[in-house]
Amino acid sequence: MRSLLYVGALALVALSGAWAYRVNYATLDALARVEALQSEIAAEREAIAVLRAEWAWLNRPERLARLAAAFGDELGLRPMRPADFGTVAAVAYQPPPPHGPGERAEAVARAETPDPPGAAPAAEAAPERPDAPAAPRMARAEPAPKLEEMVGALHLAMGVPLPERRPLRLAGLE
Amino acid sequence: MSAGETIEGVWSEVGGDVPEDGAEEGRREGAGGARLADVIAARRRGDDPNAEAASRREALRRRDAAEARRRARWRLYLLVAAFVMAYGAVAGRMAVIAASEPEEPRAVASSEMFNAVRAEIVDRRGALLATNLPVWSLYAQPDRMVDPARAAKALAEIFPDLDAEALERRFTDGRRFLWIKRTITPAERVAVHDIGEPGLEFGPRELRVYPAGHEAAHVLGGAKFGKEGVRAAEIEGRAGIELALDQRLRDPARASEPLRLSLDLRVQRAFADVLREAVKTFHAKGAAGVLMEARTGEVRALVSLPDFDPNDRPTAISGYAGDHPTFNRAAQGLYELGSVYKTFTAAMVLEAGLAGPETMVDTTGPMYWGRFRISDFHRMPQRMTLSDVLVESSNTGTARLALLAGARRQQDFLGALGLLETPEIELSEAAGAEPLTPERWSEISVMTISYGHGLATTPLHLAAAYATLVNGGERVSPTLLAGAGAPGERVVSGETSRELREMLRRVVTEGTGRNAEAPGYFLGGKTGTAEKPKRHGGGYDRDKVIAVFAGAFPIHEPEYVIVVALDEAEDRSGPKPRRTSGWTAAPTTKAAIERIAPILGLRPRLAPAPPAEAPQVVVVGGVRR
Repeated sequence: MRSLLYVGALALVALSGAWAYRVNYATLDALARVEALQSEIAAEREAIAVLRAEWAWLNRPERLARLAAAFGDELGLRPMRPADFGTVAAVAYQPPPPHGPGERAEAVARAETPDPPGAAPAAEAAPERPDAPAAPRMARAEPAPKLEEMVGALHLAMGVPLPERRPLRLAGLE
Repeated sequence: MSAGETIEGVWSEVGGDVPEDGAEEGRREGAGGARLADVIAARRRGDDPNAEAASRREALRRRDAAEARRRARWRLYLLVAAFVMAYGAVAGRMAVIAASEPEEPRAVASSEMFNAVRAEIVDRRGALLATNLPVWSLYAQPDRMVDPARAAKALAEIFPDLDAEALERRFTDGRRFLWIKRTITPAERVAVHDIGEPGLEFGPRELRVYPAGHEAAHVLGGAKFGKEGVRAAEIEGRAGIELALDQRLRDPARASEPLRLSLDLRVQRAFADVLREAVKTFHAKGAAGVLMEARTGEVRALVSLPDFDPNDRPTAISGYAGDHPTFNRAAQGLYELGSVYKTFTAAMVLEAGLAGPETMVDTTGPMYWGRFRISDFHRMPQRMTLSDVLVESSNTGTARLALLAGARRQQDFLGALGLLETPEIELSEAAGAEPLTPERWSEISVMTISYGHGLATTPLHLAAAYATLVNGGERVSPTLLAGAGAPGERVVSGETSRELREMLRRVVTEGTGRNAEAPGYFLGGKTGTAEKPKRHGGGYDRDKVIAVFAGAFPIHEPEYVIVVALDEAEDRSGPKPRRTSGWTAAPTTKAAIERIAPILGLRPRLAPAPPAEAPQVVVVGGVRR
């Protein structure tokens, strides 16, 4: 009985010793990993700081102004002016779609071609379709106000001369 | 019991004077010792003497055992206590560890005696204005060098500003340590590395960089290296906010938290752009501009031209310090600012109840006081209302109003507006900008100060004072930090502020500031043209003026105060050069507002009600004519 106790105790000691050994080395490993991670974090932080500085450097107002001047004509960029504010009333409601829902994409594509010859066949084609709703004719009868005209009106209301060439900011609403 | 024992007992009894009881006595008698007298007495009683002795021995033994047990128990207790303490300590430690927050071991403790961290600076929207970049410094340890001559030659090739012979001389003169370059780029580092000289080493450095370049240069100031070590170097502020808030920026506890300024980089750039254009158009020597929130005193833009690049701050000062690029004209330059002060005189008499906006004022001129002569810039009626005095900018009228109020009141009023003390802004230069006041506040001082001569302040003072007057009358102190508190104590009443705003609006609609009118923004303000004092004394220079415009918009509920000052500007477009502020500073202000207001999100408001198609546009007149 007693010897059994001794053997059990010894086994327990051996077991706990092994466990402590393992935990010790696991801790040391974890510490080493923490240190590695920390230096990695520090390196990443530094990289972030460098990238942030670079981003700020590339976005410095002087450079942006230079780029805006160089590509302004192409992209329609220029400093914001008081006349650039619009009112909600100046935005036209989108005109109803000229054709049935299924042909909408096609119709939009046609409507976007600016020249009248392209638009004329579409107008002629519309009455031939029995299923076409009355909407297209209404849309044509009352054309939505052009954004350019409204902007001009706004300018006049404010006593500011109209810019020579106004790049369209609200492309797609037209 | 043996006979010997008995005899021994007898002997001991014969021996005489032994005490009756006690452990010592028993021990001397021996374990089974029985006294002869007891034996005789026992026999006489018919008892067994041995039993008597045995019982006595038993008692003795018990006593000894008890004694031994007592000692043993004490030892046991000690041992138990020791074990309990030992295990308790272990258990306690385990409990402490279990209850503690898991924390990472510190990575690398810096061995340097100073701290090299410095917080970033950002604008109010988070755009980076100042940050640190890791770079390298280059130093040499000549005693570890293999081939100093070759190293010197190779270094001179990489860095053209180094001289190979001088470098070689310094490598070989016996010194053991030598800085070669404060900061080098990564490409240069690679090149130096390729020399393969073991005596050349690199030390890590943080370099303070200002990505926005020239923008807000005067606010940021610049930085330099302080204490330098091999492993790090301290960055110290050199001017501007870097120096004024050096302690805050270096505080290790707040290093990761960027310092947020009230500036808006976009506005700063737009304002600087407009002023740069104005300097070119009007052939000015320089310009200053301040845009301030009227209620809080937060400075949205602070421009001084000419400017500089804080990444490469110019040091050499030659000539007049006031013309140097690093000189902050907006917060450091003390100028007599001219007629913009008439607003203060008008506010003073209104607040004191000495006059109302419609009070008639004598404007006959010129006035003489000793050898001084005060006259007006152009012909005016003999009598005008107080409002018209401001609109037409009459010197004589203003001087008379100031005399009415008196020196004491004028001093108190200007003091309450903060015009007689250094501005409380977070710039190191501002500490030196103490307004130049007359030595003796005599009657002539009262008169000249009433229209802005004889008292020199910075444009920043002017902006803060205008903000105080138009925001309803509460004292504003300028600040460059975002999140300023509420305005301070009341300086003028709301009623005075309202009357003043109406007058300032009239100056722009029908007075000297007509060229500043930016449609839709309801600017109200005052022009000022001050002749510059000759640099070497001897009166004023007729041809050199400071043209100032100070105003607020929208004037019916002011959000921003704008101050534009142009140094020696003249409009040469006409047959005669025009130098008055109405032709230089006023159009510049208009251009600035039209650039800046859209950026600030202020939409122009239409004065006449548009036709019914846009009923939701609220028409804000606010200003009566």
